[in-house]
Amino acid sequence: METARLLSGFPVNIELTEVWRWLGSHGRKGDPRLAGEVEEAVALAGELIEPKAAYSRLRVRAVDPSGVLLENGERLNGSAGPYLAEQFRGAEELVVVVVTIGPRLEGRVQDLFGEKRPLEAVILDATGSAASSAASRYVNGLLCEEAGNDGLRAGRIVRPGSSHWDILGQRTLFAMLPTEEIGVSLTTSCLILPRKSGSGVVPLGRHLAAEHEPSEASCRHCPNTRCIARIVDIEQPSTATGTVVKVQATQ
Amino acid sequence: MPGVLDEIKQAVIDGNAGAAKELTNKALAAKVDALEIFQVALIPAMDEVGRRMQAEEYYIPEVLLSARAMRTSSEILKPLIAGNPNMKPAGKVVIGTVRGDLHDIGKNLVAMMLEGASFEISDLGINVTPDQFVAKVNEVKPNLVALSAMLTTTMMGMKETIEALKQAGVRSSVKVMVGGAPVNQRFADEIGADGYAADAATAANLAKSLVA
Ligand code: B12
Repeated sequence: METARLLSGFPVNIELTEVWRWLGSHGRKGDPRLAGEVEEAVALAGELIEPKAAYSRLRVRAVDPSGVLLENGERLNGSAGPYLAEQFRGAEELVVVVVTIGPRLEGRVQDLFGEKRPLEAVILDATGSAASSAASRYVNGLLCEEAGNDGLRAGRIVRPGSSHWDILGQRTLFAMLPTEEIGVSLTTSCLILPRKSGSGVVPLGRHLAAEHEPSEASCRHCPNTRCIARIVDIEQPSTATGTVVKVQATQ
Repeated sequence: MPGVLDEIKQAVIDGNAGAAKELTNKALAAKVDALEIFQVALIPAMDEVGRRMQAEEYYIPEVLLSARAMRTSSEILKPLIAGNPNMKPAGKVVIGTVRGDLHDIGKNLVAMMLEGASFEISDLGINVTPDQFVAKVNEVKPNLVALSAMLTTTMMGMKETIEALKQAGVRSSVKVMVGGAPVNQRFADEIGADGYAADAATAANLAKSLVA
């Protein structure tokens, strides 16, 4: 295993509009009656989150329609092979990354449900999702910067379980990172614990084929148009990957 | 005294817990029957909230505001209607998130909406094995079993639970409903569930139709 980098205590900026998005506001203005509660949740989250990340840069040996072959012999493939091949076309390296905000926030959410305060619980949970994605964004930014310093461009992060990559892909990712050092583990059903965590791989290369997009643009690749957290200015899943995605009302 | 009942209903729809409490006390002081408040104001109010959620007029926080207003009122009413033979639950539900899955927000919301529709809830929590579902079904003899899953890797736990209910000889005595992010009607049909719903409001309507 390459030496992984571990980060902790990095800044996580939780935006109010993001909390509303994770609450399912679909671009509407948040309900003014809950503005105070949302602000309180953001302040509480500030005390509860313990952002940590582990990442590792690995050399890519080959990219072909079956997927991505790494220099270390690992493969990212399965049913997602062609999709990954498209995303990684031109990649010389990749970064495998896991980011978490730690277990304390979700523990408090559980307690609030136990105390029969579901409204506060749901608002804090959404705040945790906003924090988790903000933490991922921060780390992604850092990765792009590091790659940039080496003359490499970073592509869009690809996440197991999202878009066209089966969630079982988590096992390959977790095998490549000492996630226990940041308190993160994977269950046999491929759920990351703590739950407010994320994982993915970022292609790096001088001549990457796929454009770099901000992480939210992954909504563009997701067929779940009724998703609670869908970015509203992205109405339809794109066919940019060359795959025709069927639009379903619910999924 | 229909005026105050309408007002209570509106307070719940508006998610105004303070008004719901005050109006409930006012109605009781005016000798309105507690059960009537429950059946004529609170339950129809939550029906309307469900309708608005399905129509995407309300989203989850608004539904929860209404649920809080309903709870404020029903906590006052419950001691007064306990033991009233006319207060029958709409049915009994055993609910849980299936084995291997630890998500509970969606499941909790479904349980709340079912409670709002006057179902009696036994919530087994998360990571519930098929055997635990069977044991609870034998214990409380519910009309419905509600299964939740968030991951493609855990949704097969729903099928296993249905199989276990069959093995235990209790499948025909309950209706099974399923839901969660990766679940859809086709999957529900494939595993032999009786119903699927995409959100908590639809789940409450589905539950009502399954026990009707
Ligand atoms: C919020 C969210 C996150 C948050 C928080 C996650 C958490 N566990 O707390 C963050 C950003 C951290 C996150 C991370 C990830 N996520 Co995520 N996430 C979501 C999202 C957008 C919403 C989930 C949610 O909280 N919904 C709100 C609740 C209220 O809704 P619900 O649980 O679905 O319940 C409602 C209905 O389903 C229904 N219902 C539920 N149960 C039942 C039961 C019955 C009987 C009935 C009738 C109805 C019913 O009614 C409920 C109320 O209306 C979903 C997509 C989606 N739209 O569902 C993806 C989703 C769950 N995530 C997904 C993935 C892949 C991930 C990651 C693995 C991605 C990655 N590699 O980094 C990570 C890792 C998470 C982990 N711990 O393993 C996938 C899972 C797909 C799969 N193959 O299994 C989903 C489905 C998105 C997708 N790609 O399609 N995620």
